[in-house]
Amino acid sequence: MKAKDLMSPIEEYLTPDMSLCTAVTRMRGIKRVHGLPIKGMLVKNEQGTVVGMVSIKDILRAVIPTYLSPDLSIFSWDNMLEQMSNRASDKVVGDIMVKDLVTIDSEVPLMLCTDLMIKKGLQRLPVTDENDEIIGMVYIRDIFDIVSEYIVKGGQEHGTC
Amino acid sequence: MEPVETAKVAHAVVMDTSFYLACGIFFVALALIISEKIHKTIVALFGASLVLVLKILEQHEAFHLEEFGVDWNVIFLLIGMMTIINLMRPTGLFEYIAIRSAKAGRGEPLRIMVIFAIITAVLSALLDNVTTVLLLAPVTLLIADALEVDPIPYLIVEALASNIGGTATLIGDPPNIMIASKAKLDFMDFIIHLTPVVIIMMFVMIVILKLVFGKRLKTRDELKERIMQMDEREAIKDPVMLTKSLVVLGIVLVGFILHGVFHYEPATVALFGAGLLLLLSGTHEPHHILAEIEWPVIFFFIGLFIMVGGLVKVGAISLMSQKMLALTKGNLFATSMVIMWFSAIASAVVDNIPYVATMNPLVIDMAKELWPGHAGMELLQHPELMPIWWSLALGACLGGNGSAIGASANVIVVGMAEKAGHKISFVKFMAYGLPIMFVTVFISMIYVWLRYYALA
Repeated sequence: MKAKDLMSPIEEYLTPDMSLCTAVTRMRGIKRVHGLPIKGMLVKNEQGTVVGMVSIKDILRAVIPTYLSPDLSIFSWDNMLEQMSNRASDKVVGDIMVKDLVTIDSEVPLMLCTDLMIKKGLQRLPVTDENDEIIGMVYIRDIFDIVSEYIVKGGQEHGTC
Repeated sequence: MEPVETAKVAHAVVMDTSFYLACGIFFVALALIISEKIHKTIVALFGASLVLVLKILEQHEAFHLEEFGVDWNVIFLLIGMMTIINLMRPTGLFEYIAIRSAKAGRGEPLRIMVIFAIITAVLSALLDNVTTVLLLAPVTLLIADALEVDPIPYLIVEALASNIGGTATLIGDPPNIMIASKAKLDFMDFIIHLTPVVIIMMFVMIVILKLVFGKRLKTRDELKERIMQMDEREAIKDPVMLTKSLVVLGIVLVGFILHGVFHYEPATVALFGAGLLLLLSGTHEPHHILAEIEWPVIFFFIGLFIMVGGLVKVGAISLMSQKMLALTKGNLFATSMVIMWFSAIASAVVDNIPYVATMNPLVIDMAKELWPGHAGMELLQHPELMPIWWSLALGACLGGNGSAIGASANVIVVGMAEKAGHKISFVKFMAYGLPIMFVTVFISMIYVWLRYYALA
């Protein structure tokens, strides 16, 4: 199987000037096939070019103050996370998005996709066509669904499952 | 005025090709350093290499002669102290002190600001300023968030206090380390001559802080409770290493206090401390600790010393010192005041390290012109020369407060604030820094005049 065989279409995008509040609301509203809200979205500017990606990790990172080292986080107070989340709502998508995207060609085999996602700690990989246009997204969860099916099948054949 | 006249004959400067080359290299390098187009360490090292390649200095002179070459006393004092601090940093001592202080301030914003200013000044006097603000700034941001007050005044006050505190001791600030090494002054000289005036400055600064922020900084009682509930003991990561660090730091401080008596150079004391603490730490991988030494700063010093050595050898420094004496007509009080204010203004604009590296030989040259019969310690610590050294130290250290780029501590604070989402503009920093610079240099002026001229 290749990336193009597993990728999901992308219907909605965020914009760089969108507030975190709008972005989070948008993300909560989009459900994936398994029924859970989407955990990462691409960011497209006014010219229609994809300029970055925002995942829930990036949003959580934006809530943690830069000065908070592991040495200092023991001194946080009870509702600090709430206070900081509240403050983060003023930030915009452009400030927190990941700008250097890792993408993959649609003809690339799934094995390579999987390897790349594990080595780089990615949850989703934008898929590009021959013109470098993003045409879809491969999710780690979808790869896992295929892999787990084959693991079970193999186990049954070998009598280990 | 006679000595100056005879000296001119004795030290006639020949303006040959080497003279122009050495000056050219130095001033182009200085311009590049100010422009920040190329990293200052690269500029200094390349400039130094040119000085050697063009034979303005022989390599032997640059590496081994006190008069023209690298001041290894400065280099190893810095390396030793940086190693000790790198080993101490992970113990959590500094976080402990900061949280403890905030609690001692009972969560009152103004009281915390004053206490933080004092601990910053004291730590900066004993360690280097950059490390002090680097360690305290994150805790300051945390506490300001807890109290829901603007962290910017706190951060700027800490940068200012670190520059003032650093002025107090031989090891507090690079200009003092350099001056001490050149003038062969010891730790106690600085304690006796500079610490008293620094204490006065800190008092004045605290009064100013109370006047300016007394009514402005307010917080609610439930927010103060956030501070009071923090347990500073949790900051201590490695109590065993902490004890070892404190013992070694104590030995080093006693060593500094006594180094003059036992005829040890400060670098020997610092290196002993670094070696001992490395040994006690039981680490098998010293490269981590050593890698954290600020090598770019160390190499910046090395490059500068060689470039300035070139200037000294070709006589450019003598020429400048003759001009300086002509300007003040040999009046030493006027000379020290000119040096103090000029140093302050110069240090607010440019890095005070190259400035002091150039001024040190200039002051020594001036002394040679003034007292041609003297040499060695008699010359370097001539009673009439001492106020000039102190004026140079006070001006160069305190001038750093004049602008956001005046001292490394300022640059660090502005950078950390910006990363945390609080932009400190150049003008904003100056609104705090420039008045404090003028007040502290003014206090220094009165102090030097009273202590060394009016009451001497």
